[in-house]
Amino acid sequence: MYRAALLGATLIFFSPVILFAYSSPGKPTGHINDFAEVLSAETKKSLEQELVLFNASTSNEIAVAIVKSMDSDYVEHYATKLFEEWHIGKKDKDNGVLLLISVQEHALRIEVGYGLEGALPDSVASRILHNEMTPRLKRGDYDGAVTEGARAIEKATQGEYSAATETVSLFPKLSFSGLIENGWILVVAGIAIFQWLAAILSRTKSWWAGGVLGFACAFGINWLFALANPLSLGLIALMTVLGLAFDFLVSNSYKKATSSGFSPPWWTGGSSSPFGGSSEGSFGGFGGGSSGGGGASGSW
Amino acid sequence: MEPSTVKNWLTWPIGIAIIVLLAGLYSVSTYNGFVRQNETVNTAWAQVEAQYQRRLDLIPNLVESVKGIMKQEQTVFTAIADARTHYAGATTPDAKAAAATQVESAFARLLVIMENYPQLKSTETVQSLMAELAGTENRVAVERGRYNETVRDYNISVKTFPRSVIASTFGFSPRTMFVADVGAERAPKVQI
Repeated sequence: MYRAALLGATLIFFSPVILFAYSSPGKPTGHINDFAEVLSAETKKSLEQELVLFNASTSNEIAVAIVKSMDSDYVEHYATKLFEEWHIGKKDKDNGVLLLISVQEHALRIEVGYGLEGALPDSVASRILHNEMTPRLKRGDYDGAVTEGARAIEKATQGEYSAATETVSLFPKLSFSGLIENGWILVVAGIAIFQWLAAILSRTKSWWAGGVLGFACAFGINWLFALANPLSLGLIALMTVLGLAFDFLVSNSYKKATSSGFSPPWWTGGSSSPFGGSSEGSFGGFGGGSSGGGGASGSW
Repeated sequence: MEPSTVKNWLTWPIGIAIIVLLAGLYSVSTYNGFVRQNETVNTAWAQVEAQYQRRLDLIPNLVESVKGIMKQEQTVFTAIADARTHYAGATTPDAKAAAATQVESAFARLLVIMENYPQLKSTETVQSLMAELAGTENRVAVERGRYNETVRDYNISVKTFPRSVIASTFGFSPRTMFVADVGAERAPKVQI
């Protein structure tokens, strides 16, 4: 009794959160994602092929999601969240469309990506829902509703974009500004590099290695940021001097430390390869597009 | 000179120089982070305004197409016109948000009254406009939600220590979230 009351109180307290709770149905396995298992195998296969071809010729990405239930979420919110999660459409074009059907709530929605709002305005989306889909859904004909709905979306959006050749870079672009923004990483990395260099330089007998290192670092920084002004020469001079002084200091302290039995690590273990084996399925996911709540909803 | 003496008078300046350098790097990167987040909030707000504008552009079309049949409902049309004028005159985000709420309530009243005129729903123009307006209401709700998310991220950055010190030094103050009425995060139902 007490527990029930407590649970009730908690529910009331958190009710706005629980009311609009979105829970993901899972990752997309293709263009057709029938989580409720209401489509026939033939429809799934043929429509999947059709949408893959459509994507290849127009670059538009149409995703179909059929879920059993939205768990107290409402269809507009659920569709926007699912669109956000799956990133339907190409990143620079936002040319994705999500066709969502929730079986238990008898709710459906066409959510249109930003880039297709012109080709598929809300009134057209609404007409597709009401003319092509709801009459079939009322008869329980999921196959027909989804097929005709997807075809109507194809027809509306086919003129908008063409499949231009896209440059695919092998290596992901390193965002240097993003690295800088995360100041703590720099600080931690700085300390780690400081310790590591100290460990190496203190062991070398030479007093000049640090100067060479400082010079090389300054040169590297100049090259990396493409600096070409008096400042860069000053940086080289400054870092060379700093490197010399640094080497001198750590070498001295190392001589002292070895007598007291302290030994810094020489090397911090092997490096791991960043190119691990990735488990890639036949479907590589959607292209990174986004939507802003455009489209239409309906029920049957 | 003994090496240890040299070490003593050099350790402190070099140590301090390194600390100052790291602190400087941290300040610069934090400052840039604030600038970026602030701009993200501005972009999100611009999206909200774009949807407000879209709604304002659509409403007169709807009003025009229903005016003929709804002749005796002049008060609601006046209310909508007033709210639109208010919005046009608003300059600050807060004033715009308030004016948009006024537009919303006037428009909601029109929708309720339209229920009494079933013959309107059979008109194709009215149907299309209603669908567009329903979509716009949902867009407003979505963009408002996203605006609030960016404000939340920005405010957390500005208010948490030690970044709060840098924020107050450079004058980055917390920004206001969009406070909607309870349940208003869900777009009003537009029956078609």
